[in-house]
Amino acid sequence: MANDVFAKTPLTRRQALALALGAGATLAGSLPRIAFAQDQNVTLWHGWTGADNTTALNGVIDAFNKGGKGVTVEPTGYDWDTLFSKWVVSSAGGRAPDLVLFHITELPEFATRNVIRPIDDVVASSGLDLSQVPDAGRTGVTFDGKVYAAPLDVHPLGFYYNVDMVQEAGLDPGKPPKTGEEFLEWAKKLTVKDGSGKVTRYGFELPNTWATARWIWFSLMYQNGGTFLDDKGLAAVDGDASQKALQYLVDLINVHGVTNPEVGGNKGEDAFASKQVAMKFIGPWEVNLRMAQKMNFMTAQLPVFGAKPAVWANSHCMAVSKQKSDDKLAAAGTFMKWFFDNFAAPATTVGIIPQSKAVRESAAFTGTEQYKYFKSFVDDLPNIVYEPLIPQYLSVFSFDKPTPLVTNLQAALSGSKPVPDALKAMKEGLDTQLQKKG
Amino acid sequence: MSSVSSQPAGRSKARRASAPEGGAVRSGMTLAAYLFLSPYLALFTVFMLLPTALPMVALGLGLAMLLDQKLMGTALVRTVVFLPYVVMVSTVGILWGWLFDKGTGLVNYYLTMIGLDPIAWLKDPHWSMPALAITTIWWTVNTNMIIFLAALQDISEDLHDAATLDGAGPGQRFVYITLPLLRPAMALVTALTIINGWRVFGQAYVMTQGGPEASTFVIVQYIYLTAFQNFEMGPAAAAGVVLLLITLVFSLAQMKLMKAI
Amino acid sequence: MQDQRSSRAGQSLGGRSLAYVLMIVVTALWGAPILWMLVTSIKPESEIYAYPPTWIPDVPTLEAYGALFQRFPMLTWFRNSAIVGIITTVLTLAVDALAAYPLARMQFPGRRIIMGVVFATFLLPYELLFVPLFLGLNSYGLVDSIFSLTVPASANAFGVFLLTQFFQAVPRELEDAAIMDGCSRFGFFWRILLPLTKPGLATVAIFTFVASWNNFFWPLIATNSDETRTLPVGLATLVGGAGMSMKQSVLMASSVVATLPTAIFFLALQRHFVRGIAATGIKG
Repeated sequence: MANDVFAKTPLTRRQALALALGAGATLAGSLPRIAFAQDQNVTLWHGWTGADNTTALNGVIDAFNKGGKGVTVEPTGYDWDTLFSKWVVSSAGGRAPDLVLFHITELPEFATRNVIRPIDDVVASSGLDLSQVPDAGRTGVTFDGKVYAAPLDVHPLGFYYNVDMVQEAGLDPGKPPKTGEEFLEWAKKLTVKDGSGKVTRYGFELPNTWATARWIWFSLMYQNGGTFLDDKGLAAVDGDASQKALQYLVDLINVHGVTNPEVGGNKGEDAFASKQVAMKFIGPWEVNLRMAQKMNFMTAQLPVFGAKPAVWANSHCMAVSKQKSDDKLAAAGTFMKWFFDNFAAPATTVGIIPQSKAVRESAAFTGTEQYKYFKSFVDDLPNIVYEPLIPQYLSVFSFDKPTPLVTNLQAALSGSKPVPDALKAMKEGLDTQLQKKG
Repeated sequence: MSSVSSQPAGRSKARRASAPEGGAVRSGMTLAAYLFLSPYLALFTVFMLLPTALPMVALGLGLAMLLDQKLMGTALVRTVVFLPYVVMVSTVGILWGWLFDKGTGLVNYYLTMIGLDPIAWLKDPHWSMPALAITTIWWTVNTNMIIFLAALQDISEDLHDAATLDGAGPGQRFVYITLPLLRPAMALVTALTIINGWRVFGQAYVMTQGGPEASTFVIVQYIYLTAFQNFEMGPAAAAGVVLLLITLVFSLAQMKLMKAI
Repeated sequence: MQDQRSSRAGQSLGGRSLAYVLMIVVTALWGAPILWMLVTSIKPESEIYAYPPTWIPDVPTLEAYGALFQRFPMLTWFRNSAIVGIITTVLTLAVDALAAYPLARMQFPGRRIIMGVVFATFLLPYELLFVPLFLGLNSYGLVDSIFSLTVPASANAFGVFLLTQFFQAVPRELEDAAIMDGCSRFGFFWRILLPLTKPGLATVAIFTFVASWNNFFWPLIATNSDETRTLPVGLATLVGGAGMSMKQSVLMASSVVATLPTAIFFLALQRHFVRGIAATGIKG
C-alpha cells in the first residue's frame, strides 16, 4: 500500500513526514490489538512482591491468558503500602486498575473510601463458589451486607522451630509443645549461654520491631478470652485478657530470659536463619525462604497459652476497583473465578493457604514438597481470628509509622513502660484513632 | 461513633478523603492544630539534626583537609567517599538496616571483635537516632567534603608560605589562615546540612519506620503518611508549610551570615 | 587533585604516615558497605547468614542476577530509566541555564522576588507535590508518559541556584566586549557563557541524572505499565514488602544493578564535577 502511494505522486518532504508519522502511529496503535485480537485487557494490581512471588503469579496468569478465555490479564506488583497510595491517587484521577488484590482486613476501609464496588452480581454471573470458603472468610469479604471481594487464602501465624537445635537440647522434634508450660520448657532448654553467662542463643524470637510481636500478643489476647474492640467499637486492649497476654510476653523477656526484643525482626535481620533463635511464630509465607536456606526446620500449630486456641490470621482477597463503566466487569469476573479455582500454584509459591476447600484439598496443593510445612497451618484454620474489620484499619494497624499500637507495644517489651501503663496509653491513642472517621 | 454501622457519615468522609483537594479547606485550622498538638514531631527532628549536623560539618571539613594533601591515592579515596552519593535511598536503608542488626550485622561483629558489647542499634530508642545519623553521614557527608575541598584549594599557597616563614606552626596556620578563609564555605555547608537535616525521610522510613517508640519519627514522614496513607492533604500541606518556614528561616540566616562576611 | 601546590600538612614523615593511615581507615569505612552489597549478591542463599560473616563466598553464584534478568523486563526498565535520565538532564540544563542567565546577569524589576520564589521551591518537601501534580497531569491526559517523568522534574530550583552562581562569576567586561563585537545576547549565552561554565553544567548534570535515576516515588505514581516503568519502580516490585518473604541475595543484586549506571556516570564526569564546585560553587 505504501508503495502505491509513493508510485503515484511524488511526495513533498512534509507529506512524507506526515505519512511516516501517521504510519508509525497506526503501527504502534495497532500492534497490541493484533496481538490480542478479541481479548479484553484487565489490569490487576497486587502486593505479592519479591522475585519468586511475582514470577509465580505471572506464570499462573500467563497460563490463564493463553487459555483462550477471551481475557488478557496484566498484573503489576507494588509493595503493599505504595500499592494503596497509588491506587487511591489513581482512583481520584480515574485511572484505577480493574482488579486489586489486598488484605481482607483492609476491605472495610476501601469500601468506605469508595474505591471498590460490591460484586454480588459478578459472583453470581461468573459462578464463583463462595460456599467453598469457611465462614470467617465469607464474613470478612462482606461489608454492609454486600460481598465486596473473592477471598483467596488464609495466612495464620504458625510455629517454626529449628529441628537440629531441638534434638541437641534433648527434646523430641516430633512432639512440639501444645501448651504454655510445654512451650516455656522448650524455650528454656533451647536458650544457650556461654561460660560467662551471656546468652548466645535465645529459645524464642520476639522482636520489638515490625508486626510480629503485635500478632503474637493479639493471638494470646484472644486465647485468654479477650477481644481487641469492645461492643461500642472502642479499644478493649486495657482489659484483663490483654494485660495477661502482654505480661506473659514481657515475662518471657525479663523473668525467664528466653527471648530478647532486640533480636530479630524483618528483612535483613534474620535471627532464625542466623541461628540466634531456635523458635519463632510467623506466617506460612516463610516456608519457601527457609527451604531455600536449606534449614532443618519444622512447623507446628501455635501452642495454646490461654483457655482456648486462637491464632492471628489475615487473608488476601481480590476486589473490583470502581470504574466509570462496567465494560470489563464480566472479563474481570471470568478471571476472578478462574484464579479462585486455580489457586494452588500461587498459594504454594507465596506460602499461603487456599480459602477454597476444593483447592486446599486438591493434589495440586497437598502434593507439593512444601505441604508438610503447610499442614500445621491448615490444621489451625478453625482457630483463626482476624484483626477488627474497621474502616480505620490502615491507620490503626499501620506497619510503617509509630502508631499508638506499635509505640506502646514496643515500650512494654523494651521495659520503658509497665504493661498496664502501656496498655492504658494504647487504649487512649486507639480510641482517638477509632473515633476519627466513621 | 461506632465504625461500621454509621454508613452515611462514613461515605461522605470517604469522598472527602479520596478527593485530596477537599481537605485543603481545613488547612488553616489544622496548621494551628498541628503546631500546638504535635510539637513533638519538630522536637524529634531537632534531635535528628544535632547528632547529624555537627559531625556532618566537622567530618566534611576533616575529610577535605585530609584529601587536600599532595599524597598518592587521594583521588581514589575521594572517589570511594563520594560513591555512596549515587546509591539510591531504599538501598541505603536496606543495606544499613542489615549492617546495624544486633545479631547478624557487620557493625556489631566488628564492635565485639574489639571487645565492646553489641548494640541493638535500631531496636533501642537511645541508639536508633545515632544509627540513622551514621547512615546519613556515610551517605551524604561527601557533598560537604567537596565544597570544603573546593574552598581549600582556593586558598592561596603564598599565604601559608608567608606564615611558615614567620614561624607559624600547622595549628596556628589552621586557626589564623585556613579557618577565616573557609567561613563562606562553612556558612554554605552548615545551611545546606541543616536544611537537608530537616528533610531527612527516606532512610529513616526504610530502616525504622519512625520507631522504636517513635524515636526516629521525622516531620517529612508525617507529611508523607498524612498525604499518602490517610489522604488528608490539609494537615499534610500545613506541616509542609511549617517545614518551609523553618528551612526558610535557616536559609535567610545563612544569607545574612554570608553577607556579613 | 590539583597538585601544582605543595602539600600543606604531612610535611614530616610522621604526618604523612598518619595521613595514609587515616586514608586507609576512611576508604575501609566508606567502601565496606558497598563491597558487602556486592559480596552478598553473589552468595548462595544458604551462605548469607554464615557467622562469622565472610567477605569471600565459598561458592560464588550469579543465581540472583540470573533471577533478575531472566524473569523480568530488566532491559526495558533500564532503557526507560536511561531515556528518562538523559531527557531530564538535557531539559534541566536547558531550562535552568535559560532561567539562570537573566537572574544572574540582567537587572529588571522583581528579580530578587523571582529568585526568592525559585529558592523557596527548593525548600518545599517534594513529597507534598505528588498528589496535585498527578491530578493536574492526569487532567491533561499526560500521566504514564515520558512527559510526566521528565518535564516536571526539569524546573529544578537547585540547578537554577547553582547555575546562577556560575554565571555571576563570569566577568561583565567579557559580555560587554562580545556585544560590542556584534554578538547578540543569546549568541553570548550560547557561544561564550556556556563553554566557560562547563564544570558548572557538568555538576548540574550529575546532580540531575543521579536524582532522576534514583527517583522512586514520582515514577511510581506516574507510571502504570512496564513500557514506561523505570528501574527503581520495577525493582521495588521484586524486593518484597511486608509479609512477603524475600531473598537477601536478590535484594542485594538488584541494588548492585541499580547502583552501577549512576556509579559509572559519576566516575566518567567526576573530574568536571570537583572542578565545577571548585570553580564557583561557593563564591555566591
